[in-house]
Amino acid sequence: MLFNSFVFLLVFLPITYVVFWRLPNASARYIWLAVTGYIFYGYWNPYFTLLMAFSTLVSYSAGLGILRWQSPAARRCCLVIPITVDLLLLGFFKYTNFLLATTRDVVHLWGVDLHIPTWNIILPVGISFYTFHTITYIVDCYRGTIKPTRNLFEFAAYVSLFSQLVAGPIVRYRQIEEDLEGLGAADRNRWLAIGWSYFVYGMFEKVVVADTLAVFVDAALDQGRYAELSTAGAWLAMLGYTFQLYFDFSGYSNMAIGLGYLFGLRIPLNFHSPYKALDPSDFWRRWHISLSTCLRDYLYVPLGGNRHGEWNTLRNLMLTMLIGGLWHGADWVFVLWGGYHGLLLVCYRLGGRFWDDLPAAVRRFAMFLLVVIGWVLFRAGAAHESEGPPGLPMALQLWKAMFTPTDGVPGMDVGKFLLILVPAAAWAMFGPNAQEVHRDYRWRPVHAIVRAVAFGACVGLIAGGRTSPFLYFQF
Amino acid sequence: MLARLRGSGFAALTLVLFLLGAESSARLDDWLHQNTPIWANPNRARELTVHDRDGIHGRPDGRFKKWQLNTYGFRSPATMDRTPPPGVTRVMILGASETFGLYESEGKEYPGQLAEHLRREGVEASEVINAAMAGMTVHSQLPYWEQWACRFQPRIVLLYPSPLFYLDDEPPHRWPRAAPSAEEEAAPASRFADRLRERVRTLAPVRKVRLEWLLWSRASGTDEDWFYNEVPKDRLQFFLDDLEALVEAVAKRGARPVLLTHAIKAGSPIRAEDREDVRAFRLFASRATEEGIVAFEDAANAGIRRLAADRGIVVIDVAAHLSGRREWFGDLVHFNDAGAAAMAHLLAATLADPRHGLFPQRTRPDGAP
Repeated sequence: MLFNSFVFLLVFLPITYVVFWRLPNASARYIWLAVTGYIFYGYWNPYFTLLMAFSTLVSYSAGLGILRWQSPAARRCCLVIPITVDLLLLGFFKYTNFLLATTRDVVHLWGVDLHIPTWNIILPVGISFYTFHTITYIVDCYRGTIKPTRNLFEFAAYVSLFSQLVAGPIVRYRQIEEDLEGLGAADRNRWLAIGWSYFVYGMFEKVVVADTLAVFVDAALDQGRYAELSTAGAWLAMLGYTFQLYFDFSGYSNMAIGLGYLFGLRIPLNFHSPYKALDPSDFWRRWHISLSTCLRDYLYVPLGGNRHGEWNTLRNLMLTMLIGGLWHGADWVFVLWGGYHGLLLVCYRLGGRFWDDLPAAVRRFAMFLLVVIGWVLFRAGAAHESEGPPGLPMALQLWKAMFTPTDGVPGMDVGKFLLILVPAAAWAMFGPNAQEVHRDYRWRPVHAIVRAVAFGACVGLIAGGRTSPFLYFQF
Repeated sequence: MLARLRGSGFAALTLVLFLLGAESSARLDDWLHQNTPIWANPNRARELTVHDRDGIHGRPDGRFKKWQLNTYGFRSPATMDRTPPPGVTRVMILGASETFGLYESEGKEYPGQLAEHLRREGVEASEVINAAMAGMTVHSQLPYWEQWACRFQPRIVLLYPSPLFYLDDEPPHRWPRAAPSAEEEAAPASRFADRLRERVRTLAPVRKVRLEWLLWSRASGTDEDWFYNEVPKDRLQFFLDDLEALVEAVAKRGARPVLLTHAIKAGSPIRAEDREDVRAFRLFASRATEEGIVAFEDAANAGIRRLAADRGIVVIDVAAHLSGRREWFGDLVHFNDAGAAAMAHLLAATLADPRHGLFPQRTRPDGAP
């Protein structure tokens, strides 16, 4: 079920909202949120709700074990078992065919022709996200950062919360623990206006901006057409994708934040104008903040962080980014993309003082360019229903077209495309983001007017049937 | 009281602005992606067809939603000359919406793919014109051919007839149908409302209820004889007579007619998973039962094969190869991308067969004659 669909807007959300606020206490509301989360997830495929339920039960039970047992060995079991279960689930569904294909290719390199069939494994939507939720929960319980909850439905509501279930943000239990605990006494009107505002803002980013850009970008890049692009066409397509990806993901995250507010929950920010970043570190403090902070706290820091000398710091940076790339997709192209950003971070760490001496405008422009170059790999790895991921050949072809004079076609109606691209780029690079717009938010009549027009614009496009799923669904 | 009035007024204003936003985005979206002028009130019949002294034919450079016509009002190719280039075999396909294209992605309807498939079969110099028009019966294709299509001098004419039009409540009549009236032309239409209407209509429960209501209302007041309890011989003969007349007309102009049998999603007997599609088609053939629709289709195809045999005409048995293949159809009769590709492949393989002598200089895929 997509947020930008009539079944969500006209059926699921109104019913969930009305019933939620009529329920008398926190327990009833936990149950309702858990049930609606499973209905939301099961709308895509009811059988995979069992996986989510299994992961939830394992982590919940492990949390109870941490509460009950004090011996280090028992507590470590309560940490290791749920993490192993979650990683096995993730590994099986997401990485099995990747491992099989890699084995086949490596063995082939040695001249052995081994037939390893591909398994027909469906990747459950959102598995990368809800397994992170359960993993971060149990690690925080183990570290003593949070106290495990005894309430199964409270925990189930947290894991299956429909607003961030399938495409993030990755919300740690500690980030909404206070709001969850206070759900029974929550005031419906307290965050109604800001919630609705965030939701409409995010929907506008996704439906009006990202989906409109997508039509032009896909026309230029899909079904092998990327091979015919001229230099200008390749740059236009990749700039289009750069902003499409941002508005798609940022839009979804803002919709998730808005939905959280509507139900009395404050979901943390996930984007903070990433294309205004001045350096690679700054970029990762602004892009997919929930993921980068998770990688920092649960991977980079446990690896040693920057505590064991320069060489180990660089190694830890690179490892974290490589794994971060692999999280995005079961393809070496995503690992390369992660490695590319790891290299940028490493180079910045080594030569940051030279970089920081440059004027801010130069740094911002250069950083943006570096990000666009990296998105070529990301787009090449993105699978489409009609064709498999084109992979490295597509990335190499696009880079070649972008950086060497290449004759070809523009791939799109340039005039119309620029009508969308220029305002979108200006907004992303110079305009306010959702957080800045909603700072010190107080409802005024003009807000309702603006939101009405924006929401109407979204509904007009949704009615045309040209809605696309969120790009991060595939992760 | 005043506060309540102010509140209601504000709510009304918000609603108006919401609708304004929806209408604006719908129109801008159509302009961006389909080149529909922002202030236009598009109408399919008006945008894609023209009635003039040449009879009825496609509107030159017509455009409606995703469908774009070329300079001569044909669906494809994108550019063409009035007469075939020297050394090029011009192939024309006459048919209805199955050939014009409905569900296929841009450029993927089977005539659009046929030239490429012919090239793969070693036929280098060919040009394929999609001369189909949505809703055109064989009865109307005759004057269309005589007054318009024949001028483009195709050497080969593929006839993909739609037999099920002949099961309509009334027998097929000659085009032109009435052009849009002045009132229809002037009436402003909300694109947002059109989109909503379309979305609501495609909802499965709404479709079902609407279908059952229409079938009931058409049948009410009739007696048992109104329903076709077996294949209506008069309608079948009407179809075959029209087809034979069209074949003669094509041959008389020096072109070689090629007959195609008609394929549908459902097989015989009708599978459970196909019944809904067949029943939905009763909107266009409410006198027939589901079994009757399939039986008429089979009888029409048998008649097409007999006609081809009697006249010594090449026949491509599309029904034998594509009928019953659910994965190739968007509904009972219209192909999807995969089905259109399968159709193009089948046609190319048969047309390129040297035994039929349709292409004078055919080279093998390896370049040898």
